[in-house]
Amino acid sequence: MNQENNRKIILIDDNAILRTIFGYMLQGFSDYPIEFYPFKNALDALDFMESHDINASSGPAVLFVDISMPFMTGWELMDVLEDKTDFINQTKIFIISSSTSQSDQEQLANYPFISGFILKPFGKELLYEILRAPH
Amino acid sequence: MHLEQNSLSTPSAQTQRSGLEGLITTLEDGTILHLNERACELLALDNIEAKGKKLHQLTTFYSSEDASPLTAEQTPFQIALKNNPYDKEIILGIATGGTFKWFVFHISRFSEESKSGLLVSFIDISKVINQNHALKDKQQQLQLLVASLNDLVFEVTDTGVFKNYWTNDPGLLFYPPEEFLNKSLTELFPADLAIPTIQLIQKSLQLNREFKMEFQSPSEQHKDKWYSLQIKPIHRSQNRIALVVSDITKQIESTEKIRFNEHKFNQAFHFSGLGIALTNLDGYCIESNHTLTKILGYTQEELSTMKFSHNAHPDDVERDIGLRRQLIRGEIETFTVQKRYRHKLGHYVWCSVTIAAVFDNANAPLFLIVQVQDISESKKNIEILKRQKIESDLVKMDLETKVRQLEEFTNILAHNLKGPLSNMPMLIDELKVSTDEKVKADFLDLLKISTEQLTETLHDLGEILELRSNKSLVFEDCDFLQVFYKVKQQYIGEIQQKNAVISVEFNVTNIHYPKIYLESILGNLISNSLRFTASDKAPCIEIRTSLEKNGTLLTVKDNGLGINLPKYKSQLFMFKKIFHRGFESKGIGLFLTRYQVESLGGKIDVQSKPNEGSIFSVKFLERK
Repeated sequence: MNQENNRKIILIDDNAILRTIFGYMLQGFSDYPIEFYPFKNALDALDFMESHDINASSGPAVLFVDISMPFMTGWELMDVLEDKTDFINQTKIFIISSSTSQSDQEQLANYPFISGFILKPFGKELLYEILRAPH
Repeated sequence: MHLEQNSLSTPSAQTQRSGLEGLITTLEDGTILHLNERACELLALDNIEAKGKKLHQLTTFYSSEDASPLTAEQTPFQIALKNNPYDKEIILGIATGGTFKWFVFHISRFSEESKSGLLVSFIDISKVINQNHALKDKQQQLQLLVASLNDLVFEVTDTGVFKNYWTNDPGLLFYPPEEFLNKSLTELFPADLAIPTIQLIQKSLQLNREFKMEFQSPSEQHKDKWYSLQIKPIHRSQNRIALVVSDITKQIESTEKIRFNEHKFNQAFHFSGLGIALTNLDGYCIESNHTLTKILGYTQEELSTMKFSHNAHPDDVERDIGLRRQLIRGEIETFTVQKRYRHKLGHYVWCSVTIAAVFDNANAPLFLIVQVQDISESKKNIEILKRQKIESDLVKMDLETKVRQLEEFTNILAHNLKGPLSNMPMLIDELKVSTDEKVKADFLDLLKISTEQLTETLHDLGEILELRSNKSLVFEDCDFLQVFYKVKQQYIGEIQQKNAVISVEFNVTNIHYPKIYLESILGNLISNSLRFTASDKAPCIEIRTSLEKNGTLLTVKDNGLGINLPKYKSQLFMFKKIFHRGFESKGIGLFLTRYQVESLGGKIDVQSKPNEGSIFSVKFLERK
């Protein structure tokens, strides 16, 4: 399988267990080939995204980003990405969080390029639905 | 005077005898033919010598108009020859030793036989003329006097009829002279002015005394004009008085103004809400108002014998001495000080005292106006307000801290509890459907880890919640040095391992504080400094205490990694925040420390730069 053509799924969450479950969930997705890149913090993910052309693939890359993380929160990552117009145009970005707080919902409105908000816990059906959505 | 024509050329018995009249007969050219004794006497001539000479050659004559000497041609004794017919009277004078003698000359022609000539008869009228001159002088003086007056002077009869007037400006008269002369006051003026005036005139004549009244202009146009009317009996006159009218509008206005000002000041003085006293320059009370008696408890009589400074609080006496001196010297217009005066009952009253000086025309200080306001109530209220403000500030700070903490708990709930919790149903869902035993085993492990994480988080939170609700904290006297030794012992392993140097400088040696908190705070700060150290230098930690404005300050300074404050400061003291990659850290130490400090009203702060170390400072609020 040509790895360059696989769609890239990036998960940024400091919780190791979630990263593991997420990985298991993706294993059950068989519609098209994907590559899964989990990161435990946003800084590592940024390093990766800057050194790899993640969108040169069969479909736009999908980012799943937790909010509460050490070193750089999900919102701080959004601040960094906001300026990378090309990147946010080609990439689908989802926030995944257990937070239902008002302030986080208000933050969401500040970043119109975010495709959606996924509330934890979530089932694999929801994940598959997102991945099956037309590009 | 009549003489018979035929006796003229020679002295007749009649002319010779005539006692008062000087008689001279001359030829047409003025050559004296004959003169009687009286003529010689009056003109100081010698009978023998005078004959055959011309009269105007013997004596210099002076004009009665202006007392100027006349030339021979001007004298009538010669000019008369040319003027036919001639018969006239003329007054001429002669000079006799410094004064003039005046004569009235009657000159007429006569012809007798072949001769014709002039008959000059004259009598001495010096007395009349001199009187007349004196009268003229007096009249002139009177005119000058009248001209210099701004008043109107009338001569009025006992029945009020105007007989005469004098003024320097006829424009001042109420009516043109022809309209009021010989008319009565009652005809000219309204009854309410005319009748009292006439009554005064009669009284003045009866008592031979001056009377005076003031009246407002009877004319509608000059309603605002005021006049004074003086009635003076005229000397040696039975039924005439002089009526002097002067315009006193300006005086009336200024007296009105003075009276108004005086009234204003009086009202202000006596009915003021402020206590007011007039004192002399030494501070002795001249006059005081009612309010002042209420403030100080003394009656006005008692105050009038008192010196103000005697009642001042001993600590306040010196307060205004300098200002008072400046005031009296006119260097300042007024000053206000707050001082205490002793009430009659013995207690002191806080007063705001404003003093101004009053000067005379020569700028010498006359007396002082002292205004006293009782401010003891507001002093008290200010104290209460200040206390209440401090209290409410404390409550506000406390509330703000609590609100912030509440927000933090919401945040902790959302991220630190819900996060791990949300893993569990996801794991269970997978467990339910998975058939792979290996996956099932992995997931059960993950479920166990999740449970453990959750338990740990709950435990940490519990500790914090306990801090918030712990009311049984024991405040005791804590010796910083002892606390430090105890904490140091806990970290002795790390200190030796990293070769750390810790120096202490406890300028404040003791603090009244819960010992377990102090140990925990100091322990956490030292532990942080020992943990986040730079790899290339030995840790050096300086701990010191100092006395600040309202509490003790504890600082812990290190030379470690430091923190990127602009980026992280907002999260530094938050729950489970980690700032240094690659270090063992749960991110709970500073959060706990902050809670411990804030729960007792203190503050924690930090100064730091990456790679330059950090200074953590804890401000303890002193509880009294």
